[in-house]
Amino acid sequence: MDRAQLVEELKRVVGARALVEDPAALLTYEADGCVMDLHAPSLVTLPETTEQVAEVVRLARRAGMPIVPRGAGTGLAGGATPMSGGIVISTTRMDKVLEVDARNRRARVQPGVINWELTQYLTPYGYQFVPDPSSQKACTVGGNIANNSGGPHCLKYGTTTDHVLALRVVLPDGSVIWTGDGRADRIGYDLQGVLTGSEGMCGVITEAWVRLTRLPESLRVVLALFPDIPSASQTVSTVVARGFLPAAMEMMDQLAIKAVNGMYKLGLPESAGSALLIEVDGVDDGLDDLLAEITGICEDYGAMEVRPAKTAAEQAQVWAARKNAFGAMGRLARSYYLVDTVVPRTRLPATLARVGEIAHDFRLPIANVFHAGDGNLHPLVLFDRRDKDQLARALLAATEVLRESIAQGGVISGEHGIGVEKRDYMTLLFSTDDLAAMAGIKQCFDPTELFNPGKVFPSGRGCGELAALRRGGLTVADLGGARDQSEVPSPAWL
Amino acid sequence: MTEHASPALPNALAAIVSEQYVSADPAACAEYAIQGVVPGCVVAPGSLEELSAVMQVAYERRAAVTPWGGGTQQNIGAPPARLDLVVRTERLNRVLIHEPDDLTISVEAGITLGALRALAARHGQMLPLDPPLPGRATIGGLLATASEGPRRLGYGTLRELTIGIGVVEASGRISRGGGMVVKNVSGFDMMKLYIGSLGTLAIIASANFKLLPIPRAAATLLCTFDEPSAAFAAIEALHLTQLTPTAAEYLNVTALARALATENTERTEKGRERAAASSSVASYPSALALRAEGLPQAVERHFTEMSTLAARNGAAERRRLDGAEDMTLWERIADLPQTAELAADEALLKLTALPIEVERTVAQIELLAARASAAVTIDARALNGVIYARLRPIDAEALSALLAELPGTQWVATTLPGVPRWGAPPPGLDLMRRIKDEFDPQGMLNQGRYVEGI
Repeated sequence: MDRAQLVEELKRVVGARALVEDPAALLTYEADGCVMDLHAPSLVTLPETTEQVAEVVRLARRAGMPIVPRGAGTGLAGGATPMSGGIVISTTRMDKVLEVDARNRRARVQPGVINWELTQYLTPYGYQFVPDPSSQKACTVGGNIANNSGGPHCLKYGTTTDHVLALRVVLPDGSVIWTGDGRADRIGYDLQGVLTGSEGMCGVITEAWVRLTRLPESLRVVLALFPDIPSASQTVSTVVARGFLPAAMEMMDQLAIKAVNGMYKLGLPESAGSALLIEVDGVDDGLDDLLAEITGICEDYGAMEVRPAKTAAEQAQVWAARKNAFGAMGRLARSYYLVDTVVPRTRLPATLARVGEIAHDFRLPIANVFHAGDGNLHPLVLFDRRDKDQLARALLAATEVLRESIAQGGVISGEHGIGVEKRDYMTLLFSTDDLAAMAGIKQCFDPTELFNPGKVFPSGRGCGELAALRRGGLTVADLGGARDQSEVPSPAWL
Repeated sequence: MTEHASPALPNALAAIVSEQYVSADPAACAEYAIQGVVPGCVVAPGSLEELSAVMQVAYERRAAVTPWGGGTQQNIGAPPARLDLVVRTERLNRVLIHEPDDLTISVEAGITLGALRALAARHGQMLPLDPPLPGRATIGGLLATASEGPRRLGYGTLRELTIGIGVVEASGRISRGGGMVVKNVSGFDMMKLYIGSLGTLAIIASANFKLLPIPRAAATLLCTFDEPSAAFAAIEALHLTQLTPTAAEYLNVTALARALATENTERTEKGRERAAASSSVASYPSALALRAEGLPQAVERHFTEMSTLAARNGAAERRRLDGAEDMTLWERIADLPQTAELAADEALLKLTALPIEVERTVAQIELLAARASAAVTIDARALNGVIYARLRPIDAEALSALLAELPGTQWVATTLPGVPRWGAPPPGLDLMRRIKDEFDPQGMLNQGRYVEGI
């Protein structure tokens, strides 16, 4: 099938207005929020129904073209970047909430529904869709599922995978399945669990039953200000260790405070070395006492001030500052590189200290705005993209943060995904055998590797090659040992 | 010819694990019979490396393998089509990492849930998981069967609690996924693949979990109702509140008697007589056990409100249980769906339904059981839509007939021959078969036991 034929066929399926073929317009789709690698797609389709998606997938298959699913393109790891061109399937027009079934605590939605809009839609019912990434006003539920997104409240409520009940998915062979119907548990392998977080490499999600969570009866928010980062990170460690389970525990350092102060008129003392936003929720009874105990810990570790956000408006303002902190960075630098890693929570103080050293070593400011309660760091390396030397140092600094996180027993992504950004760091964390098992799964879904190629697996070792190791029936001995000793330190837990 | 006919396999295994941990003695092997199928050989590796080496030998010799933890759930799934080797994980029972202040733990798969609980409790922590028989059930077995318990309402299941996993694949290859942090999207979610896969893809060697602090307070409201509709009306009312109970269990009259260990008391006898005499399912007495955990004030608030709500919906009796009494009740409730000991004329069904369908499904089970002249014990996670029904006495024919009329069956644990062990084929079966072929190309792991013969 040549391009002209393909274009005609696609137009027949989605309609001429839902097909983008103009080269200038295609550039919009050359990347997502990660602009390290830019690759324009050959074509973009904007289907409205599952059937249309399935037809597009079948046509792409016949034409031998890659498929790249795309939500709002807010991802920061290049998950939606068409590394080998091909056809982008944008879910933008699949933006309906199809059904709210409050009695069974589930809602059926299309993938293009904006995260924030879903929660707004559910509020009158007394429910919420819990995952709340900072980009929630733009990102889509489908993108959240593909990346198993997090957000501040997953500290208490879990990440997206805990809030997905069933998926309707167009598989790479063009067939369509529902993995379930929202009933608890299921027999057979957990396809939906594997698909969630598979970064668009195993199919296109075209509908989902998501879990609804009752809005809490009550909540309290405080902002504690500390003289420095260690005192705040010690506080976080201690709150977790003593067994409190706040709904969220978010931290900002001095640079971030400066940035959000300017934008949100919070009037935070810029002498503060860090700020800790703590939210507790549940039934009203006992919440004040709980908060008093937590603020007591803040004071024990030297908090200069603890400000309760009493009204809903004050709470909204504090949260807006936190969620838009990345945007506010524009006030401090031309560009930033956001590094998403996770460490065990007791390692926060040491890791953050090292991040400070890294900033010094590479002569670039690093701001920190992150999900402290989960140990999920987001150092923002500030630089000027036009300066080649700064860009190079920013990338090196980011690599150092990844290495340090792994050295502290952590991992290389908590919520943004691997995409193209971190694929070459996967070997720092996983052995060849670990990766081969993941590649095996990928191959079961997508044997021809047309779905979102060039993601997650290291560039030198495509998933086909990794999977071939297993297919060859090679045993451990044949591979010369179970682990790639040279690359990956065997973790203590295996 | 299968391996167990020759001494080659035991000899090769003895070279790995030392002789005392390998047995091909028929009497010893009979203790590891699975639904009547006796393995040719039993091995108990003592380390990850030994497990890997054992699997490599089994792979090379094409021996059919069944992993065995505490042996409490081998009645789930079909009997093995072939069984050359049982691989026990009992000796893989170490705690690998427990950093209490991180609220995470990494353990080998052969540790029992009870041992893990005791260790965590010493630090004021818990793995909030309450499946049957925690003293015997191992972490690996619980993961393989995706076991769950009543407190899933408050804390979720293994899907939510597992943060990392290490496995030995069919070929002996060691691989892992996840990590030791509570939030992680580095690579595919391999935990989900192995949870509930009944040991058909790999042998789970270790797992990492999130822990939670043991709540400061807890209390249970046990209330009885003259008929199920009143109990379910109370559940409906509870659903509409913003309360956050950690368990909401529906118990039919037999389940209540077992939970209270008062099976022989006069009251239960009366209830049974009444049940037996009744022509209408709707007048069976039943009970709800509702638990609240957390801050003391929050628990009191829950108790008061749940109690009022139960009264308003016609609860006949309301009882508060605290401390040891509370613990004992929930241990018994958790054990209700145990499958380790099944009589020859007994079956345990797991069903799922939408929460709103639970009442109707429970009524249907009562009716079908009555028609089959079987006593039935039903406990349901009423707000989750998970239902367990134990039937006895029942024969293969009656059970098959009953299953044919009962939608939502997940699995059936029984030793009765010729009865379907799994519910309707799940969607994506072709894909599941490809996954099985990818991970176990020779088809040697738990052969023929899983869904649709996978």
